[in-house]
Amino acid sequence: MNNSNIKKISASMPIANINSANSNLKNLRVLLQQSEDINVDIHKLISRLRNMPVPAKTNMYFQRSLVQNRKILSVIFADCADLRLREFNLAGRRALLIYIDGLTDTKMLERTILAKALCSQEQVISEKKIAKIIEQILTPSAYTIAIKIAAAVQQIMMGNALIVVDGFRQTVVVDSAEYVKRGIEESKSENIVRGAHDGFNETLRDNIVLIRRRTKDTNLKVKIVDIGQRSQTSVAVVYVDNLAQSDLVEEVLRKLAAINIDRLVLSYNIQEYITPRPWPLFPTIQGTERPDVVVAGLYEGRVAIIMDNTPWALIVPYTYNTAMQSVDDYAMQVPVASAVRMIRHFAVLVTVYLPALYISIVSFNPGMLPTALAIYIAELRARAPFPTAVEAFIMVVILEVFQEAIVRLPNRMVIAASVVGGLVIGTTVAQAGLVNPLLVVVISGTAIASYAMTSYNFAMGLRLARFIIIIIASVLGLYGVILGTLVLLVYMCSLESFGQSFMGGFLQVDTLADWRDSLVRLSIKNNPLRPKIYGAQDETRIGGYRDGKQND
Amino acid sequence: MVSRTTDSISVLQLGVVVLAATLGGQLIITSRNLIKSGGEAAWISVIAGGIVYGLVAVMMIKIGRHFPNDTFVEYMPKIWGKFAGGLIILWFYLLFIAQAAVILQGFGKFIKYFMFDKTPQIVIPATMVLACAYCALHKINIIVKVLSILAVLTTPVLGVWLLALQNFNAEMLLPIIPFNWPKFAQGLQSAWNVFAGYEIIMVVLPLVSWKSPGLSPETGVVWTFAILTVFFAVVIAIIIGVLGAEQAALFTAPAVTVIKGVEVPGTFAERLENLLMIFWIPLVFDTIVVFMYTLAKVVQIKFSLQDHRPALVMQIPIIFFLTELNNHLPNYEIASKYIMYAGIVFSLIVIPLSLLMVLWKQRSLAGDGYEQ
Repeated sequence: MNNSNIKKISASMPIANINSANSNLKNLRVLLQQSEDINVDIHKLISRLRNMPVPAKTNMYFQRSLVQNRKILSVIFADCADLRLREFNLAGRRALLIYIDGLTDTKMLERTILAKALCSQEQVISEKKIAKIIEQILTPSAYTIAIKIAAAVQQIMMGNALIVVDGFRQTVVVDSAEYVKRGIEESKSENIVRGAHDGFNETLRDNIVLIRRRTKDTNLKVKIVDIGQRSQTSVAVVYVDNLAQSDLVEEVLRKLAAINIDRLVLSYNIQEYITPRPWPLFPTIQGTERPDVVVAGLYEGRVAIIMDNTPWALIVPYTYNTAMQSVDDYAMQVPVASAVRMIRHFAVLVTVYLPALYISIVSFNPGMLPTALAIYIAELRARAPFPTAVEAFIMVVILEVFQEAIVRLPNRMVIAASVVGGLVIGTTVAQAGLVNPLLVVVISGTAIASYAMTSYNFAMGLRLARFIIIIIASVLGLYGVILGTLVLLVYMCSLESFGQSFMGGFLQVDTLADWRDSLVRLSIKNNPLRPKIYGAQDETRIGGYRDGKQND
Repeated sequence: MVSRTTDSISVLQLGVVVLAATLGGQLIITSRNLIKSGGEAAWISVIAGGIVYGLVAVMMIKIGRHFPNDTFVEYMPKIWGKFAGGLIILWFYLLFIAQAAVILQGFGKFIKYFMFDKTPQIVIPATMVLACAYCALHKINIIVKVLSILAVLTTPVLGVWLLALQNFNAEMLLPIIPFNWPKFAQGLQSAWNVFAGYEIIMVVLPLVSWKSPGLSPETGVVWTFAILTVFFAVVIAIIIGVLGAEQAALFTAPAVTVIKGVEVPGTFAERLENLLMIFWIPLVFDTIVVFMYTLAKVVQIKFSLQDHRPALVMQIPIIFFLTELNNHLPNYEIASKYIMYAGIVFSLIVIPLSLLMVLWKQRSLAGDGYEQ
């Protein structure tokens, strides 16, 4: 800058003094501050205007002018650094290709759109329909026409490319979504010995394919809805049309439509929305990472809900019987499977009741024990400083803290933590005489029993129920344990899963047929009916349905 | 259709409800009085009682068939007129609430005696009433699910009585001939206590979806009574066979005393009476739940309430108060006897007469050219 241009303030304001200069400076600062405030307000307003969703019934359409359309899209995608805009000539007109970098198969776009357009840029087509131009010049594998801005924007966000051509209101959505995703891997949470090892991943399309691959049934229907005002997450409702009750499907769709949330991240978000009770102790919706479990559920007349971006599919309704079933049960000899199933039921009882029974028998009814055992326990208890209930409570809390810590630890640390927890704490606490060794055995048995559950969420519910029963047992002894059991049973029966009680057909006199796959498992040949409790339209599983016709 | 949690049950489930209503408290509480009245032939009185009250139960269903969508609260005034019908409803209500109080009082007494000698007795019925109320607050099909699971899990354990056969002496059941008719008649009277509770059929019947093909309610109820009769007769016969009729009448709970005498050496469970008491708790729970639900339903229908739950909550303190009153009544035995008489009259006079009235009215209407 030229120094000659710099003049003293006294040159322009000869009579100015320091006071008036200060006053002006102060005014200037106020003006600057106000302008900054106005700037912030304007930005807020712009941001709000941008984020304001267009009312559902309001349709905004593209203009004929490419410049206008580009301006609209620039406003919508302002500050989106990953948006790519590429202008090119198409049939003698200017066109614009828009896509999100990383979500789209750019090589395919180059091959089928840009290269083809470049080769034929001299060609002029005076066609009034954009589809004709696309068909004559470009070679996309699949495309759709969009005239509404909101629909086109949603397609871009899904990874598809949009072509806007000057002079056309219609735009072209090219099916070109391709993004980074996890491959098909084994389920992390539902390991099995024998059976398919492929599990769901985070891509809805892949997950639906995994189901379709297992059945060629055209009655298997998939309805996709978008949930979340902002996230617009795709959620698929999958069912077998001539098996699932239509009112069940409608109820699922109605409940999904009623979800009012800005974003969906976990499938459990959906679960919480569609579960009738706000604080259920046990899961009333089945969660699985296994496509074979979903297919089996669909052919029982149930409905699956699969959300994009999560490998967890949900299946409704869900009952205690289903919670006790594992894929492995159906891949081993029937007597062995039945024995394993009964052990699992027994494990439920051990998980919930073993510490409570210990407290109540040792504290309230030691007379129930054989004399020799009662004397042995009394000797062990003689050194322990705490009452039985406190002793048990401490151990159960330590166990829970320990289990929670192991779940959160990196894999390499788990073995070290197991040694510290199991050997050091377990042995030392008993040797120090803080708790008696029998209680350590009881608590360890309880923990191991809880690992036998097929559903992690169900096992967690049982663990919480164990605390409740321990508290009741500490106050009312064995009588309290029985009373607590009765109340827990009533609670479980009253838990609803899409119109069905959580206890479902378990030991019910009016669903005797379901007993074949309940406490025990009969051979598949001896179990020709679907579970009656799920109310499938066609109850017969064997010899009932073939080639789309009901056999006589 | 998806079996939604609606307010209806099947015929088999009706059987479970009747089983739950009768198999609970009566088993341990009433066996002493029954043997005291019936002597050596008490088990025959039980069989006769099963047949008689089974027939009355079938009569209740026959009356119900004439009023398919009504409970007895609605049809009794139609049969007997508003005033007499109202009195019968009141009679039923008082009978059931008194029975519930008697069972709870006996339950508290026995649990305290056998399991918690240091616990105040009041705690036991109080907690039981609350647990039962929680269950009875639900719809009938949820209640039936609970009853069904408990019936399957606990009833087979009652087979523990069969272990008492090792001390069984068949001569104790004699003499059967010459047959002691007066004792038999007294035993038959006391047999009402054994089967008391089956009257809930009149309230639950409209909830039974009997239009579907399959088991009819009459057949279902007959089967239920057959099971109950065999079970009670075997238990009473075992008690008499082990203790003798005279001796059994001296014990507070002869059914438990019989099990106390069973020794199974080398097993973990040395105290079988405790095991029996543990499995008796769910049976009493079943009975009180059915009674509380029935009572609440009667009030709901009588006063045209939308729901049975307010009535149920209101009757909790009443049942508890009556239970405590029983504990302090010097003439508790006499009160129990009057409740029994009221029950017998209701079963053996009111119900048959009601059926006759219905048939007579139907015939006279048909004679006038009307159709039901």
